[in-house]
Amino acid sequence: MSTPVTPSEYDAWMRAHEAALDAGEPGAAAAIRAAREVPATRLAAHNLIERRGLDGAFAQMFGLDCRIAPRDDIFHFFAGHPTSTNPLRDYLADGWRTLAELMQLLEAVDRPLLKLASVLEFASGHGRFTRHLVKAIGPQRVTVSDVVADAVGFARDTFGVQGFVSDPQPEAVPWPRRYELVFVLSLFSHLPRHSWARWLASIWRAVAPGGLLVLSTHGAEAARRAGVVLDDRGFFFAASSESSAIDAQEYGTSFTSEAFVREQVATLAGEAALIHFAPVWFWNHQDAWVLRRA
Amino acid sequence: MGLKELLDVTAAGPLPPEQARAALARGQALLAAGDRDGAATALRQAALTRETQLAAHNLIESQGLPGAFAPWMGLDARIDPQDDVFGFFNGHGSWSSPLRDYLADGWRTLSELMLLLERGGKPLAGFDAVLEFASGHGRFTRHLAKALGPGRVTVSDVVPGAVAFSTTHFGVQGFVSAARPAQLHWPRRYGLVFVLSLFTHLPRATWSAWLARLWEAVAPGGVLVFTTHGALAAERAGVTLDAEGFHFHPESESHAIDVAEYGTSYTSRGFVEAELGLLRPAPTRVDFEPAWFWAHQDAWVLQRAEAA
Repeated sequence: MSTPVTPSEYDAWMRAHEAALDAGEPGAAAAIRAAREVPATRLAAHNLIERRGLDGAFAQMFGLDCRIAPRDDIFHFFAGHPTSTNPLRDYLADGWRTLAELMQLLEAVDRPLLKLASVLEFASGHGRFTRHLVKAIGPQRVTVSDVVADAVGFARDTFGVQGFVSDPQPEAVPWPRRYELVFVLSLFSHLPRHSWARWLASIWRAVAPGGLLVLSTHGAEAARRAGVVLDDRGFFFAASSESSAIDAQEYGTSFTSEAFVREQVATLAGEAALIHFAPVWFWNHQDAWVLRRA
Repeated sequence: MGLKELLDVTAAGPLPPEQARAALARGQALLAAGDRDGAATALRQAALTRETQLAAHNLIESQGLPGAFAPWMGLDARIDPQDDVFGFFNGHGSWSSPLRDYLADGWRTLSELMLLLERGGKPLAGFDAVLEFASGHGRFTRHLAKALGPGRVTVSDVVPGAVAFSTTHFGVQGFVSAARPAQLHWPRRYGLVFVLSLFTHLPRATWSAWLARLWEAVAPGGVLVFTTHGALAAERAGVTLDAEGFHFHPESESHAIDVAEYGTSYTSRGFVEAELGLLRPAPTRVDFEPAWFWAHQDAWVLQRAEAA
């Protein structure tokens, strides 16, 4: 059995095993389940089990579409993490956490998630969280956007959401409309200094009047844990991240002081726009910010 | 700081019981000698093997050693060795990391509860006093206490050790429940009473009495949330309901409670609705969501009138 490391090998593995299922070969499903336990074939086997609804599929237990894109860098981050001995499940379960953490923030500002008619998940990746958001509020209320076209295509095809491809230049993003909630998880924790405020200004344009922007940053505690010292503006950037799809100079790892973020928000939209700050919130690590547009 | 060693022992997987006990003893000795990284590695080995799992895990957590769950989960991650719900996770074939799965499952319950309450127009954040009834050893309590603050949370369970574990570790208030609903007296009433997977276990003889009793614990304007095994769960279990819409068999994951009092029960929607019709005062609103919790148990949300 070859190891599907390239897209063509992945596809060939899927075709071969799907053919075995179609032919009714004895033990075909069991062989696929066994392949899910082996790192090299884990994702191909998982996706075949999910697509065919074989015994042991996650979808039945999770109540949502559990297919994972082969080029999902976030999944591969889980798969390489020391705390994860079961990365498929841990990746899928992490969305419950994000959902609970997001809902608590929104309830804290008296704007419960279920009352929001339109939600843009920006920098949505390959849909680790999107699948949970869709289950919570339905696909018709959800739009996703990411700079990686493959990620947007996967989310559209798999979860039935609307989606558009973002742009490397913040000023060039083709916002199709404005949204009652724009949720930007772990983008500002990756941006370099030269584009940080530009992205904030661009995304702000996508927030409807009276709508909310929820974003996250690496703040003081994340900087302390990483042993990072912020500069005199309250900023630090390193050109490395878990993404293999985006230039590390444009998407690395950044840390920002509370004062830095407050200043950026005040400059853009006025101090009153910031209605809630929750340090060390998402994943007990990233700071959360809630902005409201007048 | 021993990250490579932690990775290596995790990848190597469980040890034979004898070696696991030796790893646990080695971890305890290294800890006593002040070698935290060495202790973390030995205890992680012991935590991968069932016989020594919780002893090692709880030592890692209480000492805050490398590899502990608490720092990244943001809550107390210790697990009571008497916790039958953890035992359920541990015995489940498809779940290869029961510690993490048990702890992460609380995020699921929290998000499912919050969505349910928002649907009824009563967001979780709005409740000053929440009773988690049949709370067990706090699989979910730790998450609820983090979300609301422990001062707003009270737990109750029929197993005294379970209540003590939650009050000690999560800082919540708690009281021991009773085997029979008639024996139970509420210390106060609560804006939200949350009863996850109790009515999925009750025999016919006590089902109605427990519902009526729990309804009494709901403050005016408050909400009762409870779950049942409904049509989907009955179909999956291959169970046929009786003429009334009820089925019970004396078997459950609990070792602490008599299976005749706490087995596994299934109820039709019609059965539950008939029971709700008997409640006084009548709920002002009832929401029903089939296969809601764990994509398996039906959820019922009852709202109580403001002035009753």
